[in-house]
Amino acid sequence: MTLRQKLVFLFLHISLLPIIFISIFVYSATKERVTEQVVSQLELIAQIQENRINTAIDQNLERLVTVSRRSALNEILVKENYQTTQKNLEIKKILEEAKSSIRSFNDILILDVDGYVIAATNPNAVGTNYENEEFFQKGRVEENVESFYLDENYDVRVYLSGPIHAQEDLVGIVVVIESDVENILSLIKDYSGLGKSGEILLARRDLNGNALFITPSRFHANAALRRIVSKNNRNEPITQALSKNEILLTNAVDYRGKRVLAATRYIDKSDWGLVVKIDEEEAFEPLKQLKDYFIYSTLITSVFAILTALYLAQNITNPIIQLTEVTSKIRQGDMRQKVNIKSNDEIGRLADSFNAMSNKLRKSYSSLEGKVSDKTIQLKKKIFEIQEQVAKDEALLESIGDGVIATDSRQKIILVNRAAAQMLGWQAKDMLGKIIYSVLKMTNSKGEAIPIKKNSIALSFKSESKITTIASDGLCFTSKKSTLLPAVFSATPIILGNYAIGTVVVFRDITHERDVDRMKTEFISLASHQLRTPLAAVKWFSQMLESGDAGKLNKEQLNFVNNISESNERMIDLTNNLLNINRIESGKIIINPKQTDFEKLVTETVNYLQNKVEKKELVWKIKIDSNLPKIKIDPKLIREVFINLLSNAIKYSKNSGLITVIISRQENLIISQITDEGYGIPGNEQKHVFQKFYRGANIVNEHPEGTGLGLYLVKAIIESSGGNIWFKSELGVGTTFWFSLPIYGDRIKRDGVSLIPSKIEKK
Amino acid sequence: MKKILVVEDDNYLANAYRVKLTKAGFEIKIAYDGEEVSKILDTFMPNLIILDLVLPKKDGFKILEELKGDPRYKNIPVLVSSNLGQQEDINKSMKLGANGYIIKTDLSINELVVTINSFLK
Repeated sequence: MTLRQKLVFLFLHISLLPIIFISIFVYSATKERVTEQVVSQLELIAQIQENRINTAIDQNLERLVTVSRRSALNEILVKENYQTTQKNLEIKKILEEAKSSIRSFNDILILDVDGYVIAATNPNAVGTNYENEEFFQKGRVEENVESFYLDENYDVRVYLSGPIHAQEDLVGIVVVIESDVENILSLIKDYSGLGKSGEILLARRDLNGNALFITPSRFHANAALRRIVSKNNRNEPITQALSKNEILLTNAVDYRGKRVLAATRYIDKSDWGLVVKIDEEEAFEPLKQLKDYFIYSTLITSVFAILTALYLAQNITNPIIQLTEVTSKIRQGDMRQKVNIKSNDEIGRLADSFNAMSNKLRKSYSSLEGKVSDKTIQLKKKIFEIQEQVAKDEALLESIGDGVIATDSRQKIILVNRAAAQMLGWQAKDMLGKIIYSVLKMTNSKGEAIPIKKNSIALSFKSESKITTIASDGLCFTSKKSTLLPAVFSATPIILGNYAIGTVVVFRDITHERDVDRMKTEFISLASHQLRTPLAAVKWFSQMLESGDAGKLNKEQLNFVNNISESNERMIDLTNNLLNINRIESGKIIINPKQTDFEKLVTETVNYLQNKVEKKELVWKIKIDSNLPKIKIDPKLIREVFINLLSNAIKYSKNSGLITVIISRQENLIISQITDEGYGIPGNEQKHVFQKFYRGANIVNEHPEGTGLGLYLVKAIIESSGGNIWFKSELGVGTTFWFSLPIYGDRIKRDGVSLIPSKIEKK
Repeated sequence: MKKILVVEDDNYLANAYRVKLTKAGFEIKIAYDGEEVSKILDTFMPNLIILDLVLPKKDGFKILEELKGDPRYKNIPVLVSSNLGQQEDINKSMKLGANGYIIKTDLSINELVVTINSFLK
């Protein structure tokens, strides 16, 4: 429903309802008044008519009496033996006299007590018997005017009859036939005060008790003595009147079937009913006008109400429609729109506020636009930077030879570089969205899948820490074509805040490295074998010369042979160390732990080096904790460590220096300490001590022999065994090395190569 | 006189063994390749066999396996003298029944004699 319809509806309600109510109220009140007025008028008329009729009846009766009580008549009638003809003539004379005196008398008859006409103004009537006639019956008793009849011309006639008495005896009945009942009929025909439809009805009861009109009606001239209204028709006023009910009727229906207002009277004297009535239609004629007036005024009011409503609606809705349109345009972005409503009412103020608002909106919008465009420029710049960065990153990623795969928190692949796709035999775009394990299938060297629980990628994600595998872990992956490729993996969780939101997996196909490594190992192995054979020959022949197997050498000869021997030893050391370094670097040191008596191991090693110590006249100071438990270490490797450290201590001590060896237990560690009083290591070089091929600048000239590989090897062994090594050194004072080993031992490392043992195996 | 069979393909080393061990009072026979071993053993029953591993024609492991599988020779102690230093080689030799394992460059010739004597006691 639009506003306009609502307003029209409202106005119609407001304006029409009172009018309709007032109309109905006034109409019904007026109708009541009119009815009252009409009815009281009818009653008045009825009263008057009743009086008049009674008067008329009385008048007629008086006239009758003037005849019946003529003394002459009595006397004649009572005279005995009177000659009938004479008597009749005398009576006739009286009757004619009476007839002539009263003009309305048509005929006068004298009946004897038996009903025979004995004398009459009309001579033809004499001798007729009226014994059965009503007027005779009634006339015997008293004077009456009740017997009406229609003559040959259907005019209403009435019999007036009454008894003739002589000294109390009934001597005859006088009957007057009145030519008309003019005095009554004229009354009935007096319609004054009854308008066009009003009439007066007079009726008596017929033999059946029904109402019989005794006068003509206004609308039916021949109604008299012909029209009968059934006694059962109680709605008919005449029925009521004859029932002796003197009432006012407002809902009656008359003999014509028309609705009428009526007043009824009962005329006791003659047992007649009198009805004065008027058609409702006429009585309520003024009401009809009133009704029309009301209808017209309602219609006119409606029209005015609708017009007013429309006008008002127009006034109210037009600005609203305008506001709506403007709002809609503003919403579409046209900020220049203004509402053009000039009025001092609320709508006007609304329009002003609206304009102010849209103005403000426009200003803030334009400033917003400015800001947005600034931000957009910044954003574009940023986007460009990011794109640049992305391009760089992509180039970087693509140029990396290692496979790089990034996953989201559900382990689904979100980024793949070309190398990864190539290695795995996929199209990079096809890998996106897949679970990483379905693409990067990690296996052991035999191609058996690594279960997710042990998969480094999954572990890394779970533990939120970086996990890296090494070549010696022997891991492989299978490509899409099921090619098995050895690889190393590195899985790094992407941490945002406190949560891992993904993983970056980097992996590398190490087939080539493996090949190279194998070749290198084979080469070194071969070289060592091939080198060792001549070295052994040189060694043994030199020793045989030294031992005098070829005859005793002179001093100079012996010196030369010693030089050959020592140089050869250096060569052997170098070969051994190179071999060991090779193994360390390829991760092939075998840690082969056994329950080891640490004290015994140290003692044996010390004894092994006894010759060298004695040669330099050095002094041992050995202190071993007597309560050391047997620990699980690789005795060959740890022996190698001691030999290296002690050989260094011996080599770099001045003659007759002190070498201290202390083995002690500290909680779960065995700490070994080796101290010499040698050259010491220059401070600025200390950080290089464990580097490959490092040799102290201060001892290189003094002791040209030495490979620079010993400490490097020692550190590698200790750390591989789960221990640590550290030292303290002062130039010219000496050096102390400490290393720790865990009491609870080592893990076994397989698939590796042990170090060259320094002593024979013996069963 | 104790007899020693030396299986060594390198002439110089073979010569060193011969000179030193003969001087030390042993009767020496040298087999220069794998196939010679069985020929020599037909006529020469040693008290000790010194066995190199890398040999032409038949390698030391194979020879060791045959010796220890032959009831005639299985009780002759075998000292493997090699330049191979891998733990695998050592383990393999011991498993095949070798009685000792030395790496040539790690042992002086006099120590070698001491070691040999310890096997021949």
